[in-house]
Amino acid sequence: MTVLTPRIAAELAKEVYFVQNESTLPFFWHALNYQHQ
Amino acid sequence: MGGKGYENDLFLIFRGSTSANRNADWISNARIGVQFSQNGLPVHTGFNSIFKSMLPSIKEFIIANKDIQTIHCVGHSLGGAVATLAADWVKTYLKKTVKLYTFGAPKPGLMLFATNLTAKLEKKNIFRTYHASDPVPMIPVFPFVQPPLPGYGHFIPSNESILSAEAHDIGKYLTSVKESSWNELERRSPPYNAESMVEEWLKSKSPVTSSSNKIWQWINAGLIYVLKKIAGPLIVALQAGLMGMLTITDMVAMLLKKGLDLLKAAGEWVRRLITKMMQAVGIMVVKKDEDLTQEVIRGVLSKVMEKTNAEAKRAIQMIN
Repeated sequence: MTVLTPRIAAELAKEVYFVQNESTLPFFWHALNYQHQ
Repeated sequence: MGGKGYENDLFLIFRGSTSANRNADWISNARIGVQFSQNGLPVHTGFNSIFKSMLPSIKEFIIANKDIQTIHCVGHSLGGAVATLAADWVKTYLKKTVKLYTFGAPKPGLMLFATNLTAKLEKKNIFRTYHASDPVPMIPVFPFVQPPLPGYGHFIPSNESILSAEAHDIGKYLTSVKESSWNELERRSPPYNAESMVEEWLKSKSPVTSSSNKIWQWINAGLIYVLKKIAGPLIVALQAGLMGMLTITDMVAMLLKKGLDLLKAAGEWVRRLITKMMQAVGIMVVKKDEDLTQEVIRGVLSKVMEKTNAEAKRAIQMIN
């Protein structure tokens, strides 16, 4: 069973700010390519 | 959907920085209401409205992707509160494995919600992370609480002596956690959660001021301690039962007044708590019990909420 590391979880939460813009929905489906660490 | 190692995983990531959050309207006392979630549990009205607006799209996507086994709900700030509601809905209706990761999230609901969610997801799947000096996880004040309950989040101590808006920044959170595993970021209780420490704080004669270290956390912890003395285990039922009849402030003021008037043992603790609150918000301390009317107590509580909300609002506006 997979668990995100603290770093990946925080990076995902942070990355939303850069990917998202106000015209789109306030959430998105993130295609994750991180290796499990 | 995930890539290598996460092929059957879905990631629901919620923004903290949204137009809904720009003015941080959900913080204002007028907007701090309670409504029943999709699962019939008492949650914050503002967060629930945001989640409900997203639910049709979430539902459609998950139903179309039948191979999903694990769903990771992630969010910072307001996004963390919405991620929490999403985790609750997904676990209840889809029976998938759900993991919840929040950073500096405000409190999403009342005790009944937090305990129910913790039982459903299990503590080990809830990764709530917060800086000691971040004001946002402190709000709204009790009776709103944070999951896991019972249990602790990943508390990151801080050397800062006062609350800091910068501590709410997701970049700061990333810096704090990036070299650590969850085990290293151990789940621990902040000092103001230990009942013996809260008792000591309430008993202490030294006056408090709004610039004191962690004053609002201590007041919140003191409020929980005193309300437990008054209502005991009934406190969870009372929260749900009074929903819709009274505002949160009215409900808490009524309980404190009852404790003061009817229960000798609890009355002493109510008096100590209200004295601390009055000192913290700069109101002249009322000495006589007969002067501590429900209206006066309500006024003190409102001032405390105003002050904590102002700290949190400053932090939220910095990230928008």
